[in-house]
Amino acid sequence: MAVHIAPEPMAAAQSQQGPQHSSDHLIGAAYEVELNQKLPLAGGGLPAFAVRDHRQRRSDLMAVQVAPGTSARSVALNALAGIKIDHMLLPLAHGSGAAPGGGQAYYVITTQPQGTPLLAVGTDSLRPWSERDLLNDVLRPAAIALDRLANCGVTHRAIRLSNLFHARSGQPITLGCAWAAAPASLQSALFEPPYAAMCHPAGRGDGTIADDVYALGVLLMTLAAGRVPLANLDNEAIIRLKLERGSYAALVGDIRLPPIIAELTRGMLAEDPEHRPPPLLLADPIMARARRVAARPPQRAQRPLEIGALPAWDSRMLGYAIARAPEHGVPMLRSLTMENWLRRTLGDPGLASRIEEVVRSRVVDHVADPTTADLVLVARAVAILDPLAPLVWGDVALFPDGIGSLLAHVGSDSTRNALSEVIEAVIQSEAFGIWGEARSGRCEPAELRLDTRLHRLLLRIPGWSGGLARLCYTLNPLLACRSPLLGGDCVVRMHDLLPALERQTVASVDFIIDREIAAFISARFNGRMDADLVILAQNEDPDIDPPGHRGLAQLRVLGRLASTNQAETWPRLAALALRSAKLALAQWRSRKLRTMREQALVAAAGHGALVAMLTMLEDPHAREVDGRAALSGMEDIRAIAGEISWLAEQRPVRAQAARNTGQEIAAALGVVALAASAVMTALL
Amino acid sequence: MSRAARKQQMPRGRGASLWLLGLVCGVVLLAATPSALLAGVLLLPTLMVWMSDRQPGLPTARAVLLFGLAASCQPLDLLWRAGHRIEDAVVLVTDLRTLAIAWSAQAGGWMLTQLLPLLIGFYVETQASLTAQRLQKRLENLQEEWINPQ
Repeated sequence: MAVHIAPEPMAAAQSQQGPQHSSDHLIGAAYEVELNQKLPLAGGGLPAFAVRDHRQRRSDLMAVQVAPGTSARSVALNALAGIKIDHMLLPLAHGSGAAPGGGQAYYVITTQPQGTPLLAVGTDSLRPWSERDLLNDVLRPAAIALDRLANCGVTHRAIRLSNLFHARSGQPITLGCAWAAAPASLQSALFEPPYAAMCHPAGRGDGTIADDVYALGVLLMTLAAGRVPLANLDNEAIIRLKLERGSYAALVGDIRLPPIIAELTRGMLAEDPEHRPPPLLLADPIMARARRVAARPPQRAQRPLEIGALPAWDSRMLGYAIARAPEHGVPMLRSLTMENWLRRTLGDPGLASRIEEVVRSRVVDHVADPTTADLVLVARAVAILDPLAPLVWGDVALFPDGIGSLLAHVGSDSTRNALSEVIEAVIQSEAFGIWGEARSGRCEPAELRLDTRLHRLLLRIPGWSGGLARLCYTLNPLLACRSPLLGGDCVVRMHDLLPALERQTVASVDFIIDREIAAFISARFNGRMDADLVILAQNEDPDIDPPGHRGLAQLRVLGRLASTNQAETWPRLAALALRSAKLALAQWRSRKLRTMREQALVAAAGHGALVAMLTMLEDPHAREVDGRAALSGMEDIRAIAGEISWLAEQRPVRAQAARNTGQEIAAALGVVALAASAVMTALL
Repeated sequence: MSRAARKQQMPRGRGASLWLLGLVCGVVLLAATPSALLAGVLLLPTLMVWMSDRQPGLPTARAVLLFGLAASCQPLDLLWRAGHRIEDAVVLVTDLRTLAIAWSAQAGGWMLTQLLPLLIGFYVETQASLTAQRLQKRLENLQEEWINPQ
């Protein structure tokens, strides 16, 4: 089955195409996903399908499906537009289209990988690689690709056995597609440094290229051994082991590595990302082997401190134990048990003093909620004990650049859960700023605070245009709108929204914009429609609001969306808006104008012309004229009513005047008669 | 109406005028008894109206008097030309034609004072009603245009 999917231009040239209807066009005006040709192992863990190229007739392309409810990596997709990097599956286009099970999904178009994955998920067919193959086929091409990525400001974060492809010996490996899922979200703890592995999978963030170097080091060691290290351990156990022994020591175990590989991986698996060799250096293994970074081994205590069931031998393990068991860690922090252990058993008085200071500041800080105070205490303590560690807030660990993907993972306001409440609390309490200040110069706390305050502003916007949903869509520009009103359509860009609404509009509803759609619009329009979206969120009060208040607000939103797509008509949406528009016509004072405009509205609705309808209702000049005429008309009404009343009141006055006039006329006639009689008498 | 109340209703100074008028009438009656007799009989309706007119300025009595005087000019002229004797005055007073003309004239004057206000009032009210109807129509049009919401 061939499926045409909407264009989602990623390069400047593609973005010159105008907005197009989702179901009528191809991705990037060229690519057609063939759902009947699934490529089971090509997506590196994500569903992948063959693609038919209508422009260049290429047959080596595939479409990787973005998991429903998650977002493709917009920053990476934008940064890599038009970039050519060897030994890596680069995105060519991305867009929405029909999903295999019905509805729609989002796809990233890349080239198909050459060869097979190094290790398919669920299999154990790995073979030991020779040192020469490792250096020539794996390390050099991967390092060159990572260096190009680093120059573009992008990380891969998907280097794992199932996402690296190799055709045959002597051929370089290919780094798989890493753009259709959140960074590192599909990585196991084995391929991630402990500080990233302890995060929520969706909250690991983009990280740095050093994290890719770490994953490459694990890969080298795995291929050299011909088996997956620590395969029998779960993620938690792997993290604890890496923290306890150091990543290299924990992974190498009894594996006998070739000398060059051993030296390279020792550097690549350094705990501190700043100590790992940069990709460019790895492209020349001889130079990389010669690089020595003197990392001071962590101080280890004579006896461990037990935090719940977790033993801590050094400060990083202590930080991890507090993060994993805060219910045990907080009392020990507050009772200064940890401070004493750090000072006396571990022998690090500087660290002990800083922990003591943090504990005291909990008392000094006037945080109203004791629970929040404990959360802040844990966040500070973990960051001090392990400056590499992520922010720990309750039972969630995340990096600041992972908050967007984590929000996309947990949903938004309409699907609130414990995780979304944690994210909200992190933003409201500026936890990233607190965490950044405690990390001893490893990041810029001021920038983190600024970002957090911007996020908090979005959370505090009232109505449907604020809250977690708005923040989620703002931080995930390629996240599809989750509204159930869209009926499974994958709407990512604004110009896809109106066609989807048009398809889903039914005659029985009055409002087609719900909270999710409002948040989506608000994020994509950067708040320029917030005033109308706030009105949509409110219940209409007939005592305050004019008739059709919400309907008019909805029409304004739809009209502005339609104004970006003048060529299309929207008969269903126009029919829906017509009902509200008729109510809103009551705001026009003149009956004659209302009648004329109603007829014009009906005609415009018949043609599906939303913009024309909006223009008719919101013609400011005509409204002003109508208002002035209404004032004049009301004055005339008052004057005429007064005149009629005056006429009624003056009835006795008129009667008296008539009586007087009649009597005066009678008297005058008498005078005339007297004069005439006197004259006649005198003459006769 | 009691005497005191009626007195109170009289315009200020009217009591003195009455006395003065009575005095003049007495003098005229003594000095020109035939004329007084003739005028008194011919203007008897005027006297009755004057007694019954309660309107300020006695507009009815005034009109009736003027018409009565107009009808009395010729009999008085005849009386004075005939020598102004009491016998001639009695003859004229008993002449039914003279009496009918004088009293009819006064009745006509009274009729005019009653009918003219009615006719003028009818005309004025008709004009006012037409104006009110025109205004009411315009008011309804304006209300329909500006006040009724739908």
